[in-house]
Amino acid sequence: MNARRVVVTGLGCVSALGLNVGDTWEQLCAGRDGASAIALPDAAALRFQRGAQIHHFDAVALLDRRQAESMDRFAQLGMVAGLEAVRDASIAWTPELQSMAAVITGTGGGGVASIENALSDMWRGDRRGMPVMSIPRFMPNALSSQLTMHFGLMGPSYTLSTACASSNHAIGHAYWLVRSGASDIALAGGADSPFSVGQLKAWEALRVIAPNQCRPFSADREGMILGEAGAMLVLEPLDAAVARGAQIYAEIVGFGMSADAHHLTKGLVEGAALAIQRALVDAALPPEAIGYINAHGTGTVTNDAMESAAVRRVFGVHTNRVAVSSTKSMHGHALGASGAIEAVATVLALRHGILPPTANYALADAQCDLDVVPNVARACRVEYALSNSFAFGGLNAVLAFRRWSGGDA
Amino acid sequence: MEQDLIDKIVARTAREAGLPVEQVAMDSSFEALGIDSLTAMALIGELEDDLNVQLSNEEIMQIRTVRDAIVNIQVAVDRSSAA
Repeated sequence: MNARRVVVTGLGCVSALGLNVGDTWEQLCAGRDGASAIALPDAAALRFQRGAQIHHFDAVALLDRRQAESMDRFAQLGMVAGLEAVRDASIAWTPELQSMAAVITGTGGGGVASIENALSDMWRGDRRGMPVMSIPRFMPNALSSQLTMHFGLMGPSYTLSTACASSNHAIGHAYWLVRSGASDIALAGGADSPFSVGQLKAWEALRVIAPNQCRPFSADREGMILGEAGAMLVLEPLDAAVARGAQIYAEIVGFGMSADAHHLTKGLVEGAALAIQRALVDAALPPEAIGYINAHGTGTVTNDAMESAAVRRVFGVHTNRVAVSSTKSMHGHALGASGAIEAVATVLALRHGILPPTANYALADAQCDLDVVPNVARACRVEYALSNSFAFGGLNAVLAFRRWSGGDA
Repeated sequence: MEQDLIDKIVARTAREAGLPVEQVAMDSSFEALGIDSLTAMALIGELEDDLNVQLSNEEIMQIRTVRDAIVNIQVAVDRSSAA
């Protein structure tokens, strides 16, 4: 079968900026930092006190009660995002479509908080054993499985865990499944929720968390702000989407991956550049076609300098004409969900002709010599955009999207 | 600089590097001793726990050599004593 063109027809998102896509996008455009004081009983024991935590998420109100109770918070976030994306795409499920529907999700930590809390109860003597639902809540593939069960989807379904690149890898694989004809529709994205004391203490030990604010690419940056989120996209073949009169947000046109083969936490310019180049090759695009990059942009000293060098290496003199922003400055670093929420932001940036800014930007850094769209969203119609994810462990994934103009189907 | 502290840090570094303490010079970088940045951070973290002190992210990030580690940990010890 010839490669099929693939379009995004549904979006769902739950983040510290909002419990749906509309609210999240509005806050992104306003340049609002979603970080707040971490609400956890033992938060005072942490060296950092702020995170992009979702404070008013009531899973039982948004999902079936039993369904909600069978899930860790990460899967609840992803499930709510998945429901929104499917609703948004107005899919009319048929047995044939369900049979060929893929569900590909990404997560870094899965339901580790459920295990952490149950172990804590057991070791304190509050329980004699682990709850029956410990493993079903913990398993990183819980979100994929729950989505398949909820919608009756029987195509390829799996979960990728590549730390902070997890959901870019998931969306990229889903794109390839639909493009190749292996699936006729895909739900793709990811979810993560690191707000348990054990997880936060583990991040604290790595010394990459900013004490107050995430300031990507700014000379005074001090690290990342952790976030939690669920975000999902519906991908369909262009022909099918047009035939059923679906709304089309954007076309997904390329996916590139690489490994640094270098260091567990320090990214490598060559590895990141390779993933960007491969996304461009997969999309059959020259670097000059790209107008916007949603950066990995964690706000750590090392990542942002490395990413800037990688962008400059790939784009050369064109670098100065590419807008590059880090929306992590607003929704925080949602780890395995980051790629998905950033894909949503990238798709909406193309659709609305508005580039979300890098919030909290204060001081130019010669090592991050990019047009970072500082602090204020920019009206700018862009034809092609990239979304970068460069994970701990040196695993890189880059997606390429095209603005949907509607007239060239 | 307290000699006990210096000896402790040098000994811990030597053990990590798999070298006799005599081969760990004050100006040796962790990298030159075959200790990568993540392992060096873990080593400093263990010393923080042993000494019951805390270094800021900024202090940890500027540690390249054994001397850097000693100086920054001494500052954290002094800070802790003064508190």
